[in-house]
Amino acid sequence: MSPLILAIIIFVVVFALVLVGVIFFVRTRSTGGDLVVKQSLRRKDEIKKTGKEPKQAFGAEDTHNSISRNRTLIFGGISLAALAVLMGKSWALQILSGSEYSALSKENMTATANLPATRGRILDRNGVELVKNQISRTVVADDTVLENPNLVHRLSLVLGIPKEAIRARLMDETGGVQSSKAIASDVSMRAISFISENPAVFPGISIESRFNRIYPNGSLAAHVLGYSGTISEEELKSKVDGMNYASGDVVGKSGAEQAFERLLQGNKGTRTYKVDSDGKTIATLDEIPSDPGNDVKLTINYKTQKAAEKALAEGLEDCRKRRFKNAYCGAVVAMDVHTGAILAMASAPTFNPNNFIGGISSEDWEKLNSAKSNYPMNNRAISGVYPAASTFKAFTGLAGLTHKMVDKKTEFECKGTWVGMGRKYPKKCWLLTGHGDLAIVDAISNSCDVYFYEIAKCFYEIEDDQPTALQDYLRSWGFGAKTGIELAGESEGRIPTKEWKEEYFKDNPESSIWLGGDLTNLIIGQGDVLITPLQLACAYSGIATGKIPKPHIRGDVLNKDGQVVLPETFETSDLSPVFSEEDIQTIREGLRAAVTTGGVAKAFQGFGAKIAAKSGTGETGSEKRDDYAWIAAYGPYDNPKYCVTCVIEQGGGGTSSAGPIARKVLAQLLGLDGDKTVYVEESDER
Amino acid sequence: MAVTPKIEKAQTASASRISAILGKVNLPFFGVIAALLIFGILNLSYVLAGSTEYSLMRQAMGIGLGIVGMAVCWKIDYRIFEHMIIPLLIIDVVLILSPHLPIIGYSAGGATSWVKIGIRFQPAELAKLVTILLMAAVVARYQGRIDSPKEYLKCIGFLCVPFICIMTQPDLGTGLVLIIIGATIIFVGGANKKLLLITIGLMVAFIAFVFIADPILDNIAGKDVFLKDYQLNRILVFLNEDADPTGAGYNLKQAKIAIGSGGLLGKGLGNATQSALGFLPEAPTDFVFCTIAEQMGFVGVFVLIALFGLLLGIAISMAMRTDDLFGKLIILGVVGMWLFSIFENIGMCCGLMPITGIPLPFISFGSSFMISNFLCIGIICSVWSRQRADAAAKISID
Repeated sequence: MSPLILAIIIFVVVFALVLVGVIFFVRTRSTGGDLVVKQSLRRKDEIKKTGKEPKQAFGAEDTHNSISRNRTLIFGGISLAALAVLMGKSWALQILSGSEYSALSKENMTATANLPATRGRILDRNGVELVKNQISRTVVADDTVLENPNLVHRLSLVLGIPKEAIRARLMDETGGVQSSKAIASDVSMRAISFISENPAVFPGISIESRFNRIYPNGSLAAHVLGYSGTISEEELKSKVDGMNYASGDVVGKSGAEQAFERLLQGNKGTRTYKVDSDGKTIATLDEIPSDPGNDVKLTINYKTQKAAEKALAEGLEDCRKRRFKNAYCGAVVAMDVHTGAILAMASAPTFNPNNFIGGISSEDWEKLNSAKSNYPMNNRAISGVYPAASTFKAFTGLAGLTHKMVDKKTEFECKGTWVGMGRKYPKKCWLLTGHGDLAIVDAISNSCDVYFYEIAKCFYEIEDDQPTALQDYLRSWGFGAKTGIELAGESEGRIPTKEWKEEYFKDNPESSIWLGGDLTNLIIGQGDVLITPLQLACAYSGIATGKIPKPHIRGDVLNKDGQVVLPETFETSDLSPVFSEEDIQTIREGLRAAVTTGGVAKAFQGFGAKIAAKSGTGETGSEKRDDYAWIAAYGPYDNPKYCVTCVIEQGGGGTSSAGPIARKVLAQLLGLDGDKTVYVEESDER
Repeated sequence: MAVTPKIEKAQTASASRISAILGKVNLPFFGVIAALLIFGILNLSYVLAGSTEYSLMRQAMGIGLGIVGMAVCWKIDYRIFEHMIIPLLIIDVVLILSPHLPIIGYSAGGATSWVKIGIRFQPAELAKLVTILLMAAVVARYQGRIDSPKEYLKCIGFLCVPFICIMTQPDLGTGLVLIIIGATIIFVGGANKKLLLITIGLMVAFIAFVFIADPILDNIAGKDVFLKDYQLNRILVFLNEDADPTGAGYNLKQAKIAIGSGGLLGKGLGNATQSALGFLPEAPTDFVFCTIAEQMGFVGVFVLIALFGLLLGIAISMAMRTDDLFGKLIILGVVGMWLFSIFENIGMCCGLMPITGIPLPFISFGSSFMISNFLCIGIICSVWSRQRADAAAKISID
């Protein structure tokens, strides 16, 4: 019955009663049965008769009643006023503040719980799933289960989980008080069927399909993908704009999972419940479904990535088979030279992000973050810094050409030992027997140090006017600064200057003096200079195309229907090094010659495509530590498409250790499936 | 043809008998009471739905017993009580103190107010009616004028006896009802204006003193000596509902939410979320008004208060037309009791009055209160019918 109809009925009843009352009064009055009426009639008769108010009151009763009659009237007035006050107060509460109290009433009786949004997948550039969500059958309990110790005991037996653990999960209120609690995921089919076939034995227990993050390729591209985990207290406190995090949410912790968190996360839905004063759920009132996160495509090519990781692992193994017993760490970057799209990014040693699902044990965490395990969580491709070694000669050579210190034809004689800085300070070429007379193309291809010492000497001579001319030029190629890739944890590297050295060694005044030797070290990429494999890939792409790309890892972003909601962005790098077309061509020729006749030739014997490359062997400055092997390569030479850089920590010579790895990756990129890697015997090389 | 006049005569005779009976019955009075009972039962039928603690049958039984009691009271000539001051006083004191008796006495909710002889009931409810009769008998002796302070103090003295007894339970709500009953009867009974004003002044001073002195006394004695702390809280909380947000303040807040959220037309019968979901405490008894306001909105509240207005208005008009002072004072004593109960109960729900356990006449769940009210109706009817009979006799003499 609607309140309106009820109100009308009650009104009708009340008015009918009043009507009956009125008729009753009229009837009694007409019969003259009422004493008071009788008196007043007699009074009226008297007035009619005599024409004035009667002096004598009628009846003895009304003398003693005169006070009580007045008092009764006053009392009636008080009654009326009291009821009017109540009516007024009700009016104020119900009509004037009605909406306010309605809101409070709704607030009283409703509670909301979050509906988790499915996290977006991460795909490679061709749509191969790199990270996906796996349906996991989860045993879910409602809030009545906690009060049922027998049920908890049964669950413990069926699921093989201690009672205390089940109780702890039931008492967890991080997902909102009304949320049903997940007490076990990835439950065996046997347990699932037992529970679902005996619902009477398991009241308040249901089986739900929930989504777990899964990395189907194991450790593949682990450093790029990163891992995800339950949001931490600190992350929850530092409120991210536009993100509605709740305790218990899964968020990206590193790599692409972290970098593209906003795109992957999605929007939670809410379910509104009707609750009683004890907070017990009565019914579901409303549900706003969750909005799943977007799928993020990476620029990574699954096949290239796989080839790069395989090549890296094999290369490291090969190094260890030879005399480089400590070769466990390395990195490979493969890049599109035009767009800066990262096609593969490998770092060794690696880890399996699946280990983080459902929380990682502190023991495992220790393992992943110890010196003994070589910090497998570090993405060495972007955060590892190494002396650039001879791979630097392409840029220091170009610096000499650009500053007109040498030209293509300028020749210097290499006798194996160089005393350009004075007899007291002899500098050796790696080929102690000397290269003889050679111009810059041969100097690059054979990696002659002496030729570059001559250029360093020229920079040393202009140091008074342009104290950081060489360093500035190297910086203009992106060294010493972050490339700006989306992934977190990138290192800047280091381009040493006089100021830097004075600051860095301020506690050791002897070492803090900037010498000519610093420049001769810098020019061959040794000493204090540090670069990352990614920086080198960008710079070699710049050599290949004449324009340094800005590296990126995110491809198209797709919504749940597979439509592109955010296309891959190609940003141009703001690096614009100065060089002439002629000079850069000279460098390219040098790099090409290195492959055809020079230092890298052995590693690329019989390779099916024309490529350019430069190897490097970084000195560690320690007898105990083996050299760092480097290679940077791009190809095809005439129409550059891809650039690959590789570093092996304590891998020895660049050509023999890093060369085969770059060859395998390039072979994959250039479609040379049948390419046979040539493992080169170690020789004197740079 | 010869038979016809006889039949006519018989018809007239029976008609006049019916009219004679009807003349002794105030139909609108019963109509309004019936409307209130229907209203109350209708509301309770939705409020009690699904409740195990209360049942509609018990309420119906209360009404049934009440009607029997009413008939008995109606049959008794009220005038026999006029000269029974001392017996009435003794009955009153015995009734009020009976919960203190060892076997039948029964405590609940911090007060010893119940008696259990087979069924559980509150003798104080009955004591209200006895107090009305007692005070009316005392005051009626002064023939409608209480001018001397001695007479006045005598009246107040009689009122103080049941009041002090009830405060031993302690039941402040019922105590206040007794004071209002006495005050109404003394006021209408012709108490001197000056004496009334002095009394009011003294009471205001006394209340102020209690509120100031009680915490101090508690402090000195180290325990609750005069008013219990929970009583004080309940009294004070209506001034500021946040003062005691989990206890009395919570009740008041939830009561106001229930009333306010009803709006103009209410949430509809059976949709009272505040009471159904347990936010509103004591929904069928003390806070029954909130359930009406929540379900039926301001329209329902208007009808309810209008019905109460009619009830009081008709009763007052009956008193006005009663020549016998004793009978008049009885009726007005009942009216005073009802008025105070209504004002206190609805007022406490709205936050106008302190929270006490006074139910809403004819609407709240509770048999003792219902029976007591029916006994009051019976007494009023006893007065009214006999006054009508006397008046009819007088007129026929005239």
